[in-house]
Amino acid sequence: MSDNNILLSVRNLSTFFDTENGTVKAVQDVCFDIKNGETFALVGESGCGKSVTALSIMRLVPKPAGAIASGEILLKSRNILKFPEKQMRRIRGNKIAMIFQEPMTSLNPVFTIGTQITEAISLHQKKYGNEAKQLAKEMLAKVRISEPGRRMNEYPHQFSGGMRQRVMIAMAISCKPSLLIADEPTTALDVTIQAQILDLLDELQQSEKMSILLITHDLGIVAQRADYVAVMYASKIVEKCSCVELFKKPLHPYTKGLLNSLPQLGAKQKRLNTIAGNVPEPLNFPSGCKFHPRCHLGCNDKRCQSQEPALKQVSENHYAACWYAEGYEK
Amino acid sequence: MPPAGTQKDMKNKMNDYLLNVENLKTWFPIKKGLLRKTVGHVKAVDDISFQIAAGSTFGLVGESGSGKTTAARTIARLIGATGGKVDFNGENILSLRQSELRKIRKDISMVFQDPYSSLNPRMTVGTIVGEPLKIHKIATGAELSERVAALLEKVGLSASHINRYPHEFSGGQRQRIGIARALALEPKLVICDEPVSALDVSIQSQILNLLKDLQEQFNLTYFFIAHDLSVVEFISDIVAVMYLGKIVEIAPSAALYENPLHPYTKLLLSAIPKPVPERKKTAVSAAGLETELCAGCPFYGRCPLGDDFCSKNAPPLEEKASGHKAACFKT
Repeated sequence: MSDNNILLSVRNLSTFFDTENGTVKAVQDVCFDIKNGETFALVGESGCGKSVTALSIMRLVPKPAGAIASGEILLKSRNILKFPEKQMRRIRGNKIAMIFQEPMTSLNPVFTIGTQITEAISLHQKKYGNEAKQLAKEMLAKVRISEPGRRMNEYPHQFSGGMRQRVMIAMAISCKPSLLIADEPTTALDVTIQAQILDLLDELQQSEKMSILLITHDLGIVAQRADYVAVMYASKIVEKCSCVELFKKPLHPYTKGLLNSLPQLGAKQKRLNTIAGNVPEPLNFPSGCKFHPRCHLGCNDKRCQSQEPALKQVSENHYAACWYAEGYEK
Repeated sequence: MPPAGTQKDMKNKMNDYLLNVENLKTWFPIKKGLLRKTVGHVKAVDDISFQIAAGSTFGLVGESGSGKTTAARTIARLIGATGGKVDFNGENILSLRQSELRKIRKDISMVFQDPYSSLNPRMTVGTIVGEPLKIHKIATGAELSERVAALLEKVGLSASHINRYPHEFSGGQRQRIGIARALALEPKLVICDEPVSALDVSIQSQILNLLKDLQEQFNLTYFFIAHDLSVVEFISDIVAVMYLGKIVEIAPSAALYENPLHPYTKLLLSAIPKPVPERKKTAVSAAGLETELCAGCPFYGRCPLGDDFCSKNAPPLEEKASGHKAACFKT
């Protein structure tokens, strides 16, 4: 595919970790494209591999335990997995920036906010002294921090959780990246603050024209912020389609289960629908389809138990990995 | 409403409540200087009152720092109260002496938020769940292991798990262990402090269903704390919304969601991302970030309706409709 509109293309990415008890296959055979200016969401429960996918794109998988086993990551058609480390450092921050879940731990407590933002600016843009400071101040104003001049001289502990996340965003967008990876950016925040941060990301996306890879477990956030969605389960993508399509016509039983198990406001439910069982351990994934032990369709089906369905196109722009999905070619 | 009854009727009505909290205050002193002089107070819980009927679920929602957990811990006497009254089964918990407390502790148990840090990693599941029974000298030896096995089965685990350690379990299973421990002494009141917020969506619904089943089975009363409004709506009969140490709205669950009265409740409800694909701007950004306390309404700084009067006078919690109270001048 040589679509000019595609910013990042992840092809058959697999990332493995070596542990004492064997190889943990955290990410297997993951494929997706992110277009310019769109928000692509990666949804899944803890341990499904969504964060490792993000770290792989940044080439920040912890070494030596983890390594990208195979695949390609094409940023504007150039495979960044082949880049030497020195060149990769220029990509990080400049082209791809990342914000993390914990705004409390991702800032250094012993430096002022100003020092930390100017450091990022000096490293990536070769701007120093007053020029860098001025830019940092503008960035803080951009993420709506009042009195940025005074706030620059304060320390992280003087900021609330939402403000710290704003600082992280300011730092991330200071070099005008074309892709912002947001790994559960609002999970640690209150709902009202969460809405503010998400609105801010929306606005910045429009003004800076960047793409966002949004990693989350919250389907509500996906519904309201994403253009395109991939659902991950046990290291693989099980369904991939546009956001509207996912909520209108989910095809994979896991996606359906997730959507059904949400408690709905104003619904007066007596009981919640559940997905039986637990998320499988990465060291002993079940045979065949990894979801079959929890699936009402697959738990007694020989094929589901022995053969893993690949992610296949089932209709225009809708991909699913399930033997039972409508339109799935067996 | 029945006509006003005699005093005896009133007393009977009071006794229907398992827990009756009146004007509860928990203030933490702020100390400064060499002599550690108290210069002010953090009013974590400031004059809250509510009742919980036996066999029902009382939900408490609010953002971080609103005082939900402090309220719960004060009621369980894990933190000393500054003022007020907590009647549990007709006894004021706050005036009990340490030796008398043990009796009450049997009737009030807690389920905590983080299933990873609330279980001792060096104890087996059997020891964890059996410890309350041992401490209260209810069972020993073979009887103890029998009861622990029965408890584990009640919460959906297997009796064969008894000799395993917490690290061998997933988050949802650990929360089940925490629930089994809380139920060991057959308590009347279970305080659930954000029991599902650390769990995955598919596991969260399992635990919520389990809590509901157990309530029916053992006629439990829940004091349920959460920041997720959809979870609270699902499980609660009565819901109270807390903001900066005060209850700003309290109503039966359905009434609160269908007809929220306080602007803060409205703000919270509008801020929840609903799983319906539609891009929409929330009204939240418009509301200021100001949370500094003024003499009047605690929500004044963020309120779209607030005026001069609100900034100078604190609104009382008043009944606006039957059983529906809100603390706002503008409703």
